[in-house]
Amino acid sequence: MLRARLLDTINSPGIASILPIDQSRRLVLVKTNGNIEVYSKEDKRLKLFQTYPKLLQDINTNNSAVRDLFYSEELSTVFVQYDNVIALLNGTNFHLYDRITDKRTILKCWLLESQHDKTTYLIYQTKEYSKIRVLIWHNRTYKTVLETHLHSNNEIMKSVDFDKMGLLITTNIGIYFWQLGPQPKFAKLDKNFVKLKYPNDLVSLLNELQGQTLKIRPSKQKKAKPELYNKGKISNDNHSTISKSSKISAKSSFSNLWRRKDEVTTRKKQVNNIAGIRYAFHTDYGKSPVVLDQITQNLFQLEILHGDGSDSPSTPSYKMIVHDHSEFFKHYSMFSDVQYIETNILMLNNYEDIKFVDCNSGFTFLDQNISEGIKSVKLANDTVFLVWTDDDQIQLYEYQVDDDVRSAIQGVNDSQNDSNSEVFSLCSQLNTEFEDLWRKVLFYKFFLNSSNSIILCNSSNPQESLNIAAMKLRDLTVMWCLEIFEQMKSLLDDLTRYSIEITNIQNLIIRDIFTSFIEFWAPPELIILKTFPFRLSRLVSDITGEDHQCLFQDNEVQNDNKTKSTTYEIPAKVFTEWCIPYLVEMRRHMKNLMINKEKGITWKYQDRSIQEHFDFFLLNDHKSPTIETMLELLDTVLFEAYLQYLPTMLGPFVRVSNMCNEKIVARDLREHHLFEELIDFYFQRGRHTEALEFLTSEFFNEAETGATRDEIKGKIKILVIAYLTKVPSDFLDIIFKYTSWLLENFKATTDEHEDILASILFRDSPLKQKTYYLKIYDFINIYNQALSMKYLEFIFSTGISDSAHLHTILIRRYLQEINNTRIRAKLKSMLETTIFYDPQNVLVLLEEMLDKTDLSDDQRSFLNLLRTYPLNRLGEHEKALNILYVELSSYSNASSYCEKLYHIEEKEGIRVLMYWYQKLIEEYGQNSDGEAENQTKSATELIKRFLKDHSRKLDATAVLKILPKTISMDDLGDILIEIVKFNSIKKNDLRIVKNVLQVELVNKSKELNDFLSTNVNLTEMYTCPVCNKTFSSFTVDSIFWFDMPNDKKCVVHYNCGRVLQSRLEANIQRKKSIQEKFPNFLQIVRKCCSRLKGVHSIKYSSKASVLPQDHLNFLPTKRI
Amino acid sequence: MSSKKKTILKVIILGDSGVGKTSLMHRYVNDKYSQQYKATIGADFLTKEINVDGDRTATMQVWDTAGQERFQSLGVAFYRGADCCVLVYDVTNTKSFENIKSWRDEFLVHANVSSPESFPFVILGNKIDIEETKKVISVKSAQDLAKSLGNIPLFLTSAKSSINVDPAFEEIARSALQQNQNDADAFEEDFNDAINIQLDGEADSCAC
Repeated sequence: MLRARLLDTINSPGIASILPIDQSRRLVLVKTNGNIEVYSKEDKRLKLFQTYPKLLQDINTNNSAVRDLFYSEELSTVFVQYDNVIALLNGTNFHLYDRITDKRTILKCWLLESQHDKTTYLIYQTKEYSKIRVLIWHNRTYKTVLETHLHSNNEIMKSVDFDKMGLLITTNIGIYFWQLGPQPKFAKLDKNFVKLKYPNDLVSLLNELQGQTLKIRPSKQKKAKPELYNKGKISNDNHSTISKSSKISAKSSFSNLWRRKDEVTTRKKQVNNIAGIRYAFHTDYGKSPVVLDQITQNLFQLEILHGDGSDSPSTPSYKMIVHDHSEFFKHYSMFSDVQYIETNILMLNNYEDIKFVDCNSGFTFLDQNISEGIKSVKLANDTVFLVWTDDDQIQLYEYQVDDDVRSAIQGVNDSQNDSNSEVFSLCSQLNTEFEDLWRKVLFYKFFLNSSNSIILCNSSNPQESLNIAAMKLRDLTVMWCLEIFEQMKSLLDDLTRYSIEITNIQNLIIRDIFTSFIEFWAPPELIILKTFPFRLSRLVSDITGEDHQCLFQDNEVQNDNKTKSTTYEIPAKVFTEWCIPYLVEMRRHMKNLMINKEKGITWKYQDRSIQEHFDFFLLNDHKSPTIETMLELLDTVLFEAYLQYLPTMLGPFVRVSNMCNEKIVARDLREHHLFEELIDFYFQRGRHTEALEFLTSEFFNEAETGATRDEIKGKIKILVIAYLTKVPSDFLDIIFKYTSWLLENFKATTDEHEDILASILFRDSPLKQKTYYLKIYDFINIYNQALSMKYLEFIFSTGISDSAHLHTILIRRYLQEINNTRIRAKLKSMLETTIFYDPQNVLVLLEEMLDKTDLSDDQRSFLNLLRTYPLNRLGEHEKALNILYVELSSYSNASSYCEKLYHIEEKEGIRVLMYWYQKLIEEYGQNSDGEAENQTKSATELIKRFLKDHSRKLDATAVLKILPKTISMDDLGDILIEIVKFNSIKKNDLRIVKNVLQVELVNKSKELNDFLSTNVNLTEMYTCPVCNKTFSSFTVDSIFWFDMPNDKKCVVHYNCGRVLQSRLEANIQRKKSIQEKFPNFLQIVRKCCSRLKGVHSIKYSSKASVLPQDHLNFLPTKRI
Repeated sequence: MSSKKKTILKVIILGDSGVGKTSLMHRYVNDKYSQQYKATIGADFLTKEINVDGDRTATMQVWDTAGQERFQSLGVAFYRGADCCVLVYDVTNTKSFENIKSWRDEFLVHANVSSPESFPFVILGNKIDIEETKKVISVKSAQDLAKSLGNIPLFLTSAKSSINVDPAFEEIARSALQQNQNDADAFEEDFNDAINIQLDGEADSCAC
């Protein structure tokens, strides 16, 4: 798994203590003679960087030896521990800057640092009085010192770890929590030990299940019992597996050994080992601290409950969750030192061996023998550790994944390597397929979760290699979970009753397995075939056409041996709770894949994001189905699962977009008489013919006779209408067909027919194609002409159609009923207000109507009036006017026509008014030739009326020019006065506007002059504020004039101007960035900036000369 | 040993894009409204402490979702443990109203609730502040829909004018709490009774 490589060795006799400093990649060696040697790590070698001779001799006044060294990254300080003193040296030059003296003798010391809250703790225990003292620095500043005493004078601190609230301290006879903060409290944790009701890992659960099944199965217990107890023995002797069928090894059953009576004596012997490990650590910041306790053979997980309202927050309650770890210590009892590395990996070492061990399972991932003997092992940066050997060598080791794993993640065929890649490990001696799988799963998890993954994989393309490792972990996890499922299945097979424990354990196992399947996107075919009941798993071959016999070859061999096949099925409740979400999740992925076939979809594991394509979900060496087939399989399995276990979900499922196999679903829904779901399913799939055929034929014909028959028929009618109202307009033929069926089969009153037609065909939303409206109109027209007209009115009133053709149809229909006053009003309103009809066609229609001889005068007048509307739209206003004024003899209608026109199009209105005026003049002329005085009088009256109504709109001169001279001024006097008044008001208005504009012009001119007259005086003594030099009066040069933010004027040299300009711009820029960062500050800064009005480029010279334009960068040039 | 678990009510808001899901959430939680439309990406949640039965408090976790992509972007883990689902439509948008049913169905499929028939939903018809002529969904049709989906509570709201938002969320909290209570009844304690362990390594170290 992991392999350590010796990078370098240095010989340095007389080492007193070693200290690797990660930050600066240095190694500090303290010699017994007081020298300090500093080595730097370069190119994976240690090079002597500097020696500080006799540096520590002066510090150590009592001549005691250096006990230990510590380094604080936060304080950049080396702590040197002596018997009575802790010396604080500068981390760079090793100058002593402080010392902590304690005459009670410092027994052991720890330095802990929390990078999250920038806190450093220095903890030590005194030999006399058994006191513990902690010194705390926060943000590089010394804060406080606290002291407490242990309960017994014989107590020896074993380790210390920190939590958000305080320190967890372990001693040889107890575990303590030292709550820091304003009210420190030192408490012994000797109560509230609890065990999880059920283990929290799959293998332990499986073992628990095995124990429970044996209780239930008395007949088999006799056979199984020796196996179980053999397991203990085998475990002790490091032998093989529990049973051939289960393949669970002794190693894999730590928790199961918890209750074993024959182990108690062993443990009792071990608990007396007070020299054992009691090591506190935490796997991640914020996570509960853990104590690995060799003395009680347990792993304690400390859960601190920070108050729930009832307790005071200053006294948090705690809980110690106990995990049996006796097996772990059985195998690692020879190791005395332990250090936590990362991601559940511990480094154990004794005199000659170093092991990297998974703290939960006990699997060994690295085993390094140090033949020279080990004095101390220190973890250095990244993946490096240092070994201080018995003969005072310092060996520098780097650990990385070994060649087998590397070849696997770099794409080399590793099938053989994997199986032969055992290093010495706890499980290597119990090597089984299952354990191997389990170990690999844990190893790859560690590998991918490690903060040093990239260094560990030692690849030219680490990202790619890590991606492959993630995919490998995925495969291994899926196989491992399936293996666990198989074991569970074999344990529960044939079991006729389940105890509550079995039910719960089974639930937890399936939960964990399927959570992994969801997390790792397990291939659906494999999971369905391997874990789902036969009713569901057979769908794989039914839909994909693949038998996948190869997946069951192993089982068949086993089944042959047992001469029967398994009957186990996941219980319904468990299936719905944990298996259905897997199907739902997989169908979601398939749907996303269908949308992103080329790009693929992103699978995320830890910090890996890998683009995956459809082949990720397929099995090797099998025919590849398409995404559609896979989705069909998933949906159909999900459907069958709902049908079987959760029928209430069938309705929602068939109504959402799905790709279920239509035949299977239709068949099953019919068989189960789930007709509503069947109809919904057909509707969702767009199988409207099938749905309606089912309703109108099968269902209808099946209706019983008599009263029930009528009742069912009535319901069918409602169902068919409801269905047809939902059918999209694309299926008009189907809609028509079954609407006709309804009308034929439910012969009723016209009103009822109208109701059916209206509820199905009168739709609020626009139809897909414009031609559909006509089709619907025609269809309705066959059955009910009045309703067809209503249909047209409906679609126009709701605004869903603006078809000119349909408008023409409706107008024609209206014209056919012209005697009806309501229709007349509708027609007039339509022609007057709508713009969607074709005026030409309508005009033809109206003229055709007028050609009819049987029309009454009233009808003819009405039709003539209607003609004016299309004529208006065609722009033939003279014709319209003639109709109104001449044919209909309606001055008021003609006048309002012109009025409307004038307001819409002024020019056109004037033109038509002039046309009408001329017409009136001509009329007057014709009448004045005759002798009819009355006619002349009425013509004069009309002219007078016209002039009164419209003269304001017309040019008075043009109007008067053609006014007949025979009309007396007396007749026109009032009108002319009115025209004059109107024009003078108009003139006055214009004059006011003109004066206002003139005032505005004067104001602007003044502003301009003020601006142009601004000046600045340059005396001989004036110096440029930028360069502090004066301005020569004999040179011709450009200078800049700035209006500074403080309203002062400032004149600078041309070149200085550039500098000042850039400074001002930088200032503005800086203020802008402040504005962005601190929006509230914006307004204040903006006020200041606004005072910077601009800069002017000016020219000074004894002679006037013109500056080049490019010198004038800013506002107008001034001359002084 | 019993452990009191803090009541967290998980409420998921669903509905077409632009119906005002985010605005409703912000109006309820922060009592703020922004005219500016900003599409939600993935999902986002806000929490609000609410009073339950007078003296107890619970934390309501309101999950706002992106309406654009439907259910393609959020996995089953997102919907797991939901205590109430709020279906939102826009009273000026027919399509958003028509989609309420399918939002409900999709939610049920993805959330995998234990009893779909009794899972609490609440319908909110948002944007009622808009002038009457622009409203296309009548109160009657909304009531009919709510009735057809199993008498789901219906509220006509306006996040902009803060109309009916608080009463709607009070009802949501009530429904969510009821659902949460049902789930809690099925909750089983994780731990056995306390056991005795002697850490000082004496002979009768462990009673188990």
